[in-house]
Amino acid sequence: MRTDTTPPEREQRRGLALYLGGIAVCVLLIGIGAVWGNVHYTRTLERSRARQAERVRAECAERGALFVARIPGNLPATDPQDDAWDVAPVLEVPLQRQALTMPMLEQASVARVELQALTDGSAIAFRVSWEDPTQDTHVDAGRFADGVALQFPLTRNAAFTMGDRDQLVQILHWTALWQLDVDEHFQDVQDLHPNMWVDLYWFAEGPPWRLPDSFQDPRSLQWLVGYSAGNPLSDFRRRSPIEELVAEGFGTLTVQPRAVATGRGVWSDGRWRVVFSRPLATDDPLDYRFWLGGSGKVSAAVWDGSHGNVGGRKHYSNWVDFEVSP
Amino acid sequence: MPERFNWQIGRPMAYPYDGPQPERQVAYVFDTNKCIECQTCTVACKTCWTSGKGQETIFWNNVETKPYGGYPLEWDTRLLDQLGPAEWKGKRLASRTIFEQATGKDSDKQPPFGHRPAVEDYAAPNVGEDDITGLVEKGGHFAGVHPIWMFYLARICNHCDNPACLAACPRRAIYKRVEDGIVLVDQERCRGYQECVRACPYKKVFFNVVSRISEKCIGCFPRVENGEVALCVQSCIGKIRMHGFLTTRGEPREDNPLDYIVRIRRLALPLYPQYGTGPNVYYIPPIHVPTRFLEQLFGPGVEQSRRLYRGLAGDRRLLGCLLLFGATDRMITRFDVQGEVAIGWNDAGEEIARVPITEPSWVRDHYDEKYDAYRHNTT
Ligand code: SF4
Ligand code: SF4
Ligand code: SF4
Repeated sequence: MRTDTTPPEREQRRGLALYLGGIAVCVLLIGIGAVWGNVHYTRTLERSRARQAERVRAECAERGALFVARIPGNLPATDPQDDAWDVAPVLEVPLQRQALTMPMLEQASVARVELQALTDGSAIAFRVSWEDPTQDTHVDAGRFADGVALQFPLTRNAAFTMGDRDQLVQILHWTALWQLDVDEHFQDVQDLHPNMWVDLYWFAEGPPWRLPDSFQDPRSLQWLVGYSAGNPLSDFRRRSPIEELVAEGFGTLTVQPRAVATGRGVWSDGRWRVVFSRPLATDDPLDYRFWLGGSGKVSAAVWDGSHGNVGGRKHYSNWVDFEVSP
Repeated sequence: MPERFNWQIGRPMAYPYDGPQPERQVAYVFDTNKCIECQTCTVACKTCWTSGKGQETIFWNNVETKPYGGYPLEWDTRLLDQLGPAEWKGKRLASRTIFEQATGKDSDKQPPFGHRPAVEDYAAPNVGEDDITGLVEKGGHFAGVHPIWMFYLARICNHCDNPACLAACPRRAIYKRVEDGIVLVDQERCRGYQECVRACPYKKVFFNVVSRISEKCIGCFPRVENGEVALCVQSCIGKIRMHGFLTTRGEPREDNPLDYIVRIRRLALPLYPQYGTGPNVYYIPPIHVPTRFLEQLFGPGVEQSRRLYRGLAGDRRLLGCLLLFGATDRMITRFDVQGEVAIGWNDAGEEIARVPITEPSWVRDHYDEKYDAYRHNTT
């Protein structure tokens, strides 16, 4: 490194420093100006957006559509009891018993759901809530869990009856059982039958014979055929209470291997409140795309476990329109 | 709804799924007269296939005591109560099958007609069921008829011709294999709706609480593919079981043991043919049980079957065929009775069983000179 410099060189460099300093000051001034301008611009934009949103909201209310309000940050993506939901616009959606295809639901027990949605500009969250005096969280022989699903059309004319051939729909599905799996631990035989006793499970370490801890030896998994076959329902390592599916008609429901939706459901005071949330858009062509300022269709389905609701034995709604705040 | 002919009820019937007929149909004959309810079959199946977590109360093979027993509890009487008694006009079923029940307001009345057992119904197989139908009076003895009776009924999935489980599944997750008619639940596709559990009249599809989907007897298909009989058949202590194939495309063959016993001689009968599923486990009815009871279980052929069974001693071909039960671990697809022996061959034409019609017997002297010992008859 050179340390000795001659005076003329020093002069030259001082000049250069002054010159550069001048540029820096100019850039700074321009920058400050730009920020000011930007802030001003953003504020104007926000004002006009708020005005527009207000207009859309009013229109939605008039047409019976759901307005997806925009909130600054902190989207309650996994909290169905967040204060934000208290002020979010609500659309009441009537349900009917599924009687279009076998197996049918013969007796309706849930009349309607309340639908709400919020966006923070990059993600969207829906909250569905409905009255249900019983909290049905487990499945067993002849026993079923409560659940809810939201459906979105992936093609323009997809039918609300789970789509049709080449008319795909996407479905986000939550169940009370998966919520417990995630909140507590995988709901095992012991959780259903606390007094159960077994002598052994081949190749497993126990007691307490809990999945997955006691079943580390791969040989112990050979009787868990659903799990070995890769059936997502049999995944005792489930991390999300929500699954994403696509369908093109009754009986074609297919789980999407890559899921981005999160959410959570909470039961209190005789009411389920369930949040579904996901980014507005993803790069998966089989994911529904939401647009700021855009509109779309959504429908809901509800299962009431203690009334034998399972699969096609469910309550469903027709398509309802929604509009996302600009 | 499409129609198909069901030979067990002597008429065509409605069946919602218009699937192809298999190339041949896996089938079993169980001789109820020989079953000792040792449950070796149950344990063989359970140890191999259903000893996992979530399968605690699942028995693909179970043996119950009739008239009172049943697993799951009241599996048959509950459906019979709802359906009403079967009515036969000769060999033709006059009453309606489970596929022909009217669609009603009640969800249980959507075809196929069925019911869902509760958790408790699976909890205690065989408990309290080994009772006879009355008390034996002091001094009572067997006098050629049984006023008091019971018998053992071994049960597995029937791999039905018209499976109710398959017809009920809204996802078509259940399929009947074209090569052998074995009925399977696709473990990747099932979503645990339990519609099959409700629909199967024999309650041979089970809900697994850990995998959260339905499971059923797989007919030991990996063994069948190797020409071996099912584990519950191989392990049977009483040698009450024969496992083979019925001819489905073409006439029943005299030299096919299953065709011969079931279709040609009609010695073995389907269980609850009135349900209409075309079950493929065929039972030789117990000879000591009242006909009226048995006819609800096995249909109108009971008396004829019993006559055949009683006359077996003079019916060499049929007797020879029955003697092949439990004689080999492999599936006999052709048999013959030649002189004093019954012989069984497999698909490859290899001889896999040879059984004498009369077991050789030796009468030994009371006094054994070699050992300088006296023999006593201890039986
Ligand atoms: S192993 Fe054979 S004899 Fe024993 S219970 Fe089973 S069917 Fe009956
Ligand atoms: S016995 Fe039941 S489970 Fe087996 S094929 Fe028939 S209907 Fe299906
Ligand atoms: S055929 Fe195999 S799977 Fe079915 S009951 Fe018998 S042993 Fe079990």
